[in-house]
Amino acid sequence: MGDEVSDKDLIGRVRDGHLDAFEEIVLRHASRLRAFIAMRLPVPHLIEEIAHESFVWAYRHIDEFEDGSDLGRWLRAIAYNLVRAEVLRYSRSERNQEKYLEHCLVEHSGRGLAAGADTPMVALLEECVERLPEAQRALLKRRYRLAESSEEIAKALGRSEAWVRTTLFRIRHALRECIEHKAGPQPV
Amino acid sequence: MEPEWIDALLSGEWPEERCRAIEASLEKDDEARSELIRQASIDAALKELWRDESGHQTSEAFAKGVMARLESVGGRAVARSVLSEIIEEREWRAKTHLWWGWRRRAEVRRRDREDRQRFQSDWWKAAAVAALLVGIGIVVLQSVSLTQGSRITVAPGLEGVYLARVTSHQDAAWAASSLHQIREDGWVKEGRLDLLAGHAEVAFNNGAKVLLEGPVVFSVETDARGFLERGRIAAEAGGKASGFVVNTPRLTAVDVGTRFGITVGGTGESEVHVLQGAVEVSRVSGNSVPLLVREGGAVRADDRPLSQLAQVEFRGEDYALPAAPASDLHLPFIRYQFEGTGGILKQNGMGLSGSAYEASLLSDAEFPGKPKRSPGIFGNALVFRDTEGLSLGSVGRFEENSGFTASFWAKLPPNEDSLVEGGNLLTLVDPENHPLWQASWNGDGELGAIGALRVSGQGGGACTATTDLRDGRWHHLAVRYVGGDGGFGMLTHLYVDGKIERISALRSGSLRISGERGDSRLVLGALPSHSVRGFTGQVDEVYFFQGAASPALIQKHAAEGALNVLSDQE
Repeated sequence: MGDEVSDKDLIGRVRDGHLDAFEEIVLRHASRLRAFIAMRLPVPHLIEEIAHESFVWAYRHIDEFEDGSDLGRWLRAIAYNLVRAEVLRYSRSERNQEKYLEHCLVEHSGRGLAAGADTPMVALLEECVERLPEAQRALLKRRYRLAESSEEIAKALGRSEAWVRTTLFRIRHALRECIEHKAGPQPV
Repeated sequence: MEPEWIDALLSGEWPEERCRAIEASLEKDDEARSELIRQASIDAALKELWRDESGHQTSEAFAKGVMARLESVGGRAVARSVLSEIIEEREWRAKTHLWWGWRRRAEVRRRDREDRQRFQSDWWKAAAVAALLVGIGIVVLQSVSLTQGSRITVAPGLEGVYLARVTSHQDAAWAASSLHQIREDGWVKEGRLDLLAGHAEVAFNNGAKVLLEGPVVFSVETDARGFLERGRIAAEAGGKASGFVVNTPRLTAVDVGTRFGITVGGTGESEVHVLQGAVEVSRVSGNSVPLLVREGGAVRADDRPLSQLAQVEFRGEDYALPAAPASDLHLPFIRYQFEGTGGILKQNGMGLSGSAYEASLLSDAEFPGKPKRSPGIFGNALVFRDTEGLSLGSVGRFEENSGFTASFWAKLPPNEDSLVEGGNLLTLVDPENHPLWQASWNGDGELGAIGALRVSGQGGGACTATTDLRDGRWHHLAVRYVGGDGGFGMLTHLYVDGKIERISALRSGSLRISGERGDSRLVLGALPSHSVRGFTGQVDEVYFFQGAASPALIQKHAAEGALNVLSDQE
């Protein structure tokens, strides 16, 4: 049984009043939806809040979901609209101009939203990660799956911390280029 | 820019000073900034994709948060709005969410330690303030003189406004920095209170009370919200004070009508223990889903920004409840009930004037038009037309800069075209009938919200509330002047139906009082000799207190219609 069919069943149960079925939907889609938001608005607390709001909105409008369509895409569309709203709200607050880095990231997000919600950026990212050399995938695993610090990675690999940081930089750069190559250029 | 720098910025592994230097470089380097943005999106996406394996908040915990919100109908909107308000007003978010947030927290802790060391050498100053606080509540009346005010300011900030009051204390030793926050008679402006030892009770203007147990660092942020930075407090916030908020570095606790205790540890980890009623608790970051914690329940937010609230063992016995409500019925007061029959009104009260005063409802030379009796909020009331006025008895002399409280009920006709000019409700006049200050409903949009309670002094100080009173219903109104230097408007609190009002316009002007003019009097409605227009509507249960009454007393009047207090004429 594929995910799409299971999603359909779960949505049916939610519509019948079974709240627990929605929890399964959240568990199934949370990680990718959050990654989708992260690629557009890479500000940690905004990712958390927008993902949360997206699922709540989806639950309250579950009757509007078109049977047979892709639930993941529907969720991405919801999140996309919330990201856009958040960017507008954020830019209106002068106080937020003071957080320089955060401001840069949000401002960029506002410019880049023309890319739309349909581009499967997360799937492309996963494909690109799979195409990396094994050593680079291992480095990513240490940083992102095992949450190791640069110092810990450097010790484990017998390298300098500077090497770890620079290599991670290059891997991320390569991943971005790979995604853009597959999806077409993304506004920056 | 070195590639290494961007990774260091994203990982937050470098000290804040170094990160700030990189930030400064980025501002001048478009190419590097563009690369940072590209890197940040990949970095954030990878973290989210693999977060379940990285030991950070898992999808399961995230899902639980979403489900908790879906299951708790109603409370969510309150918590979210409170959260947004807090985030906009304070920049704590920046300290906890940026990549190098842990560095900032360390800086905050280091600064606190330095403050504490410095304050400990000033313990004797703290003791002096404690001694001064003993004298709270004794105020004497004198007559008033006024000076020119400054321009109207719409939607003022909190600077200069007293938001709460230290109402009692025991063995309290305040840090030197707190001496600037606490006026001699206990009034507290927005800011940080550092209680090194002992206990102190802080009464917020919305009626909530917080008991501080030293050592504790607690900031008064608004008249209905505080921030517990470190230490332990117990709070009581039922009735009109419901919705009182205590924020900590890790959570937001919104009172739903209850008593509760909160402890914040050295790294911001926070616990809420609900002693009575219920409290809505949410994290200030990450998945800020509110949980409704009921009596006997307790939750903990640890120092990791994205982890969930966790239930912990209830330890209500650790939290001393606020002391019994401080009675301020000892304040001298005068009362008009408008009961009885015939044309005579009698006043009663305690400590003011000494003898009963009888006001006639029959027309005389001073007031050709007098009000009539009618059914009121509590027994009889007086019904006025805008040309009618009535002089009441003496309220004694004011001491310079002393406070007062006028607490009464009023009913204005529903909002109609004819009711557009504003009208004078209550005036304090000197022995020569010169108005010193007056409470009215506002009819001028340039002076604040139309139809709202407004108080103004002849010296130019004024403030206007927000609630439109023109709805044909009885409203309890209170004007509380806390006294002291700093401007009449700034030092005045307005209450409608027991809740403190947001101020729609403010003009600062002093209300100085000269003791040479003798006793002052209250006048209801019009002041014919000075061509001051009265109001159309009713007034009932007028109390005038010689001092700043507590929110609890004002709210008791609002809740019960009349105050069940002893008078020295009964």
